[in-house]
Formats: sequence, C-alpha cells, structure tokens
Amino acid sequence: MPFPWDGASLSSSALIFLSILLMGLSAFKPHMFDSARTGVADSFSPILFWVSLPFQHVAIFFHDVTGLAQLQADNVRLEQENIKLREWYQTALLLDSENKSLRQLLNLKVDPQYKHISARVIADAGNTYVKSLVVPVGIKDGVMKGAAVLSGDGLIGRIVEVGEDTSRILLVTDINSRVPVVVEDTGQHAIMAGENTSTPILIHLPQDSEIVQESRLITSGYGGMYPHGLPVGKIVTDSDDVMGVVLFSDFDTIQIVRILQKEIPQTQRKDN
Amino acid sequence: MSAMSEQLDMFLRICVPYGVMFILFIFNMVFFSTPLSTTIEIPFVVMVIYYWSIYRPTLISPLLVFIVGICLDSLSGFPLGLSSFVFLVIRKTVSDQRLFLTGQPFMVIWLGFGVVSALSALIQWMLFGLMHMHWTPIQPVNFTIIAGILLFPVIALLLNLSHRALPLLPDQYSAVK
Repeated sequence: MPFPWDGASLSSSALIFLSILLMGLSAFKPHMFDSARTGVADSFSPILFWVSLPFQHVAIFFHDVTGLAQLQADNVRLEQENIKLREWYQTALLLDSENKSLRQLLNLKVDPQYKHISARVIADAGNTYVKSLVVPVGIKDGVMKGAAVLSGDGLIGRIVEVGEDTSRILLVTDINSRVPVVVEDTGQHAIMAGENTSTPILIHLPQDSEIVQESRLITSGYGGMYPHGLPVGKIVTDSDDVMGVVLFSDFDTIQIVRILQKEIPQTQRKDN
Repeated sequence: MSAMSEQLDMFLRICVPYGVMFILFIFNMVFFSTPLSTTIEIPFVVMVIYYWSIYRPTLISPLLVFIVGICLDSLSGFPLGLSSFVFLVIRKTVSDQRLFLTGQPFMVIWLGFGVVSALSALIQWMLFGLMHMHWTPIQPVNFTIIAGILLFPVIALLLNLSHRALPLLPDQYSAVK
C-alpha cells in the first residue's frame, strides 16, 4: 500500500523553485497573500484555541502559586494605593466635568469614542523573526484592520490581518512597527520603532531634545492609527546613548488582549 | 485477518506518525504564556523533518513538506515560501545523506541535528534579513538553536515510538528518493 502524500510527480527541486518564487512575490508584494493567510489562520484557529487553553491555565496556576508570598505585601500596598486613588477619583470627576463644559464653550471636535473587544491569544508562531500574535476574533466580531491592541498594562500593537474568525496583531516590538509617541512630561514627539527585541528604540528625536530617563511615553495620535493617550512605556538610555523604551506590557505572559474599535455612528454603519 | 481489516490496521498505523507530526506542528505555533515564550521558538517541525528524512523519507514527501511550510508561514506571518524553502532543503540534504546516517549511533544523529538546525536557522535569518533589508538580532536565533538541540532527544524518542507503530515498508518505498 503506497503511503499517502507520496507526491512523486512533484520533485523537491521544483518545489524549492516554487518556494523561492513565493518568497520573491512576498518580498515585493507583501499583502498579495493576505486572504490566503487569513484563510489558513481561520482553519487552524479552533485547534489552536483548544490546545492553548490548558497551557494558559497551567501558566495561571503557576503564577498564582508562586505569587502567594507576594500577595500579602501586595494587599497592603494596594489598600494604601486605593485610598490615594479614591481621592484622585474625586479630582478626576471634577476635572472631567470642567473639561466637558470648556469643550462645549470652545465648540471643540471631540475624539471619536472607542469600544473594545477582548480576546484570548492563541498563537505566536513567528517569534524569532516576526513579532505577532493571533487572536480568535475577526470580521464577524467587528474587528477592523489597523485597530490598536492593548494588554492590561499598555499598548502592544495593531491589527494587520483580519480573517472571518481570526486576526493577527503586529506587536510594537516587530521591525515593521512604527508608533508615533509623545513624552508625557515634555510633550516631545518621537517615533517608536520595533527592533525585534524586547526594547524598541526612539527615532526622529530632535538633536537638542532633553529627555529625562524613566519618562512615560504615550501614543501621540499622529497619523490616526493609534488614538491619543494610550500608555506605551518608559524611556531608558543604553550605554551607546540610544534611547529605548521599556514597555509597560510583558509580552511573554499576555493572555487576554483588548482590541480598540472606533464606534461608528448607526447611520454611517448602514451606509457601509 | 481479512483484507479490509489489514488495510484498516495499516491505515491506523500510518495515522500514528502523522498524528504526532500534527501535534508537533501545532506546538510550533501555540502560545504558551510562559517566560521567554515570545523570544525562544522551539523548532519542532525541523526535528520532525530531520528524523523522518533519515528513517522514513517516504512518510514526508516533498509536497507534504511544502504544504507544512506554507501553513506555518501563513500562521506565523513569515514571508510565504520561506519556511517551505528551508524545510525542503533540509529534507533533500538529509535524505541524500540517509545511507550514511541510518544505523549510526544516536549521538551522531543528535550531532547531525545540531548542524542541520543551526544551518537552517541561519539560512532563515539571512533570507529574512535580505527580504526586509534589516538584520534582526542573532541572539534569539542562537537561543532557538540551543533549545532545539537540547529538546531533540525527547522529541526523537516520541518520533521513535511512532516509528515503531508503522508497518514494514515494501522495498520499492524504502529506496532513497
């Protein structure tokens, strides 16, 4: 009985040539195979979802067990923080109402409202070269290409491919990622560029910019891809004076992500 | 045993290594939520292709290797064709050395895997760099090679167990392709 997938008619050399051809096409037209990619991801997403589930539960379990000693100290710290935050909450309410009334006075066009879709991460295959994650939500769930994605701590990337049931997130650490950011304290604008390492770098900073270490970075909203004000990370400078960013999110332990979606008015939605 | 049950038995035996292959393929992509999970990638598929290219090349035809590579590229966001190219080169090179490798002690097979996985990772790294005109750091590639070499004996044992489930191969299929 012959083994299946014998494929005798297709020699290795012919398939190697075909692979080179595909690589060439992928290099010159990267989005040419997007629909095929999302089709494959859609087909594998149920399996990946169920396979990843036990590993994530085990990860949560180990995290809980190893974190028991830390819990008590955290509890005391959080109680103190909570008292401070209650005071800040009252201040925030006051400022919010003041902001609203000032905006009305100025007739300012407000930023669009965002809703979010939460999803569990199911795959991250290309981790050495391509920094991306796959989530089991797609067009059916209202996900749109270009949407910003956050973890509980801050920005992690944006949606680059959307299938029927799955989407791919390009992480901010990927070499193809560029995020317009602003230093919270000084208002200095820059671009955060991924380097395929855990620390992206800051580019397009003016020569005379004086940036303090550990300054907080948020998205500037320039370009319209990311909304203004999403927390990104803190600035660090390495021994070669290259400014890097320590991200707020820990990509190794992300389990659930939030995908931000602009809320489209009902009438516009019908037109689309 | 009737002809039909014999065929069913053979079919089920063949399913075992393909099932193991499929599980390892899924493990190559699934997100484990553990420290270093986004830094180190364990090359399970390379292990599978290396092992079967030595011991049963007919089990992984070039077409199957090509399809696996395309699926992996599609799921990982790699340039399409990159993994298939590397996998096909591994399959062809190892199959060509099959006569030497078969019957060698495990240490030699392990050493061979070290060479193959290092070369394949470096080819992948160079091609990716050329396609993007940007050299990514080499350190994660080194970690991947080391992780693959360290884990190979475990995966080889699993593949060996699935190998035992296979029926004996007729002479015409044992020939080197």
